[in-house]
Amino acid sequence: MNQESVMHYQVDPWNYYMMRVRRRRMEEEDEMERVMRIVSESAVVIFSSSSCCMCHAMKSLFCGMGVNTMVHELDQDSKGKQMEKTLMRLLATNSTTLPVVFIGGKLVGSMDTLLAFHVNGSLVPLLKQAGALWL
Amino acid sequence: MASQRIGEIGSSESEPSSQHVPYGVLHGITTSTSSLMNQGSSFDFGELEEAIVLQGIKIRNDEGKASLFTSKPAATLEMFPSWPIRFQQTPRLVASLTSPSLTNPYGGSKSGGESTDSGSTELQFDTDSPISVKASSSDHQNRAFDQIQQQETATNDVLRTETSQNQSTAKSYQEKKKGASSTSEKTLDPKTLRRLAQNREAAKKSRLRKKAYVQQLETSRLRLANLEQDLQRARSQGLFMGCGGNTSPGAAIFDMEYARWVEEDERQLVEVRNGLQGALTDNELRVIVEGYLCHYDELFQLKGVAVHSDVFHLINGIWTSPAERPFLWIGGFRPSDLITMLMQQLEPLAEQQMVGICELRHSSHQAEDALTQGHEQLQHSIVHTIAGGPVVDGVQQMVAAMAKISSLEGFVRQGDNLRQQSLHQLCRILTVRQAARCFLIIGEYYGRLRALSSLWTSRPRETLITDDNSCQATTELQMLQPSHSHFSSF
Repeated sequence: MNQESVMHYQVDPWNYYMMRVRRRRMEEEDEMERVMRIVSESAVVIFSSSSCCMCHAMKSLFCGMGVNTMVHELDQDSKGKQMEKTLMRLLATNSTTLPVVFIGGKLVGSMDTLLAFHVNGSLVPLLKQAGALWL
Repeated sequence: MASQRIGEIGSSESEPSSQHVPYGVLHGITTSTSSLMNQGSSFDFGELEEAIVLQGIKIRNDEGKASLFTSKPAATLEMFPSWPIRFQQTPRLVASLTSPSLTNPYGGSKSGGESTDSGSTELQFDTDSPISVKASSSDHQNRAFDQIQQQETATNDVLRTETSQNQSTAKSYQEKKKGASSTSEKTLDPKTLRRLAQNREAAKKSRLRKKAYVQQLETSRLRLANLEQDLQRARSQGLFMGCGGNTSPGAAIFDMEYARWVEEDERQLVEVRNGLQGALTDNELRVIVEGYLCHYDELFQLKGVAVHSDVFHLINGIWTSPAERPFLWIGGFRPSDLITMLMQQLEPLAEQQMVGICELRHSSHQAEDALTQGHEQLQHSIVHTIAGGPVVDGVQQMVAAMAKISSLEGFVRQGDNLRQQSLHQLCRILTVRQAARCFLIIGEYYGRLRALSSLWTSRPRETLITDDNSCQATTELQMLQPSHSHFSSF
């Protein structure tokens, strides 16, 4: 693959560029798949950073509600940076918005969406539906 | 005083130097205006001469004395060669004017008026001598110093009476003086003319200067009045505009916008109150309620902008009134506390609504706890970063601290988000009429807190003794009575 790309580079820059784009797309799909794989493993999945205090707040919130969450510390993951980028793409935002929470395999969002849902009264049914909360 | 002068004359005349003879005679002459002269000093008689010329005093005398007088300027000039006569003499004259005997009858106003002129004026204002002052008043028709003019005429009257009360020796001197006037009146030499012209110029300059000074005083007085008014208004709103060095531009802008929001809030409150008391339909009330919700959304938007520009200003709560500050939670009110307060006031609630509100209070309480925990951890982390370990170097430390401050911004944002969501949910749970009552309660609650703050800031500070505190409280309660509109319950 590498040799092929090198040859193409020497001969055809456009093709080389297209190959690069395709590869990145594949990587992104890989990442997305990885994320999807992770979030389906548990009812509540939080992507956080160990040094981020808002992430700590989100963890405390679920803890206070008695919900067991699976926390994925991106700063301790080798592919953390890429996953963060994937999440940013999912949230359609340019700024780093950790923590990000998935409930029942579906994206909920970052802290402000979660708080809105909670105040709204729609968080608890969602948790119950995902099997994270009983009564 | 006259006798003292004469005594001095005697002592000075005993001196052998020929220079002192005219000096001594000058002293003798000055006894005619004896109450004016405090010090034995040279005195350019030419000034009196010119004054008399202008005044046209009728007392004429033998012209034999003219030679005596004409020699005077020369003698005095020799005495102080480096100084022109003018500058040398006028301080003495001014000093004479400020002597107690003169100032007492008029409370020092005249001499005060003269001495408030700028120093150079005093030097050049040859017409300071009492009689010459009157002369200039007659000479210069359009004087700005009307007050001084009156005082001058009054002074002249006193001087005239004083001179008339003088001893006979003084009188003879006076006659000599008048004698000189008759001769110079007839001659009007160019020197006198020049001096008169210079007098006029000096008087004009000093008048203009005084006018400018008075104008300056007036404008600064107006400015002071305006400033006091602004300060009063700001204080009454319970806001404190921090001193220039401490407030950032973002903070100042937010303070201004918040003040405007508070004014708008009071207006909306009146609207809601009228809406509730009047027989409005539910739809009309709904419009009002939604207007109030939008009003609060505006506040949160303002705070969102302010968080980005100056998060510390929002957190320290200096933009709120003093009485609100103890209840501050991450830059604003605590939603669960507000809901608890509302629940007590909105007594007749349906079962469903009661449940809904309880749930809202519960969930906002949970969210508050979570945010508080995160906020505390952030504070610990900032302390740790700033305290720094042995490994971390200065720049890295500062960069890390700055990053933590930006996460502090995130917390304030989430706090505001929670507040906003709680208010919206409240409006969803309650009926329109209940929601209107809700906003009325909230508005009045904060209005009372602000009134309490302004009462507290304007409390008398001198009474620090505990005995006085009780009567202080009663007087404050009495003060509360007039502002009853603030406290109308419904």
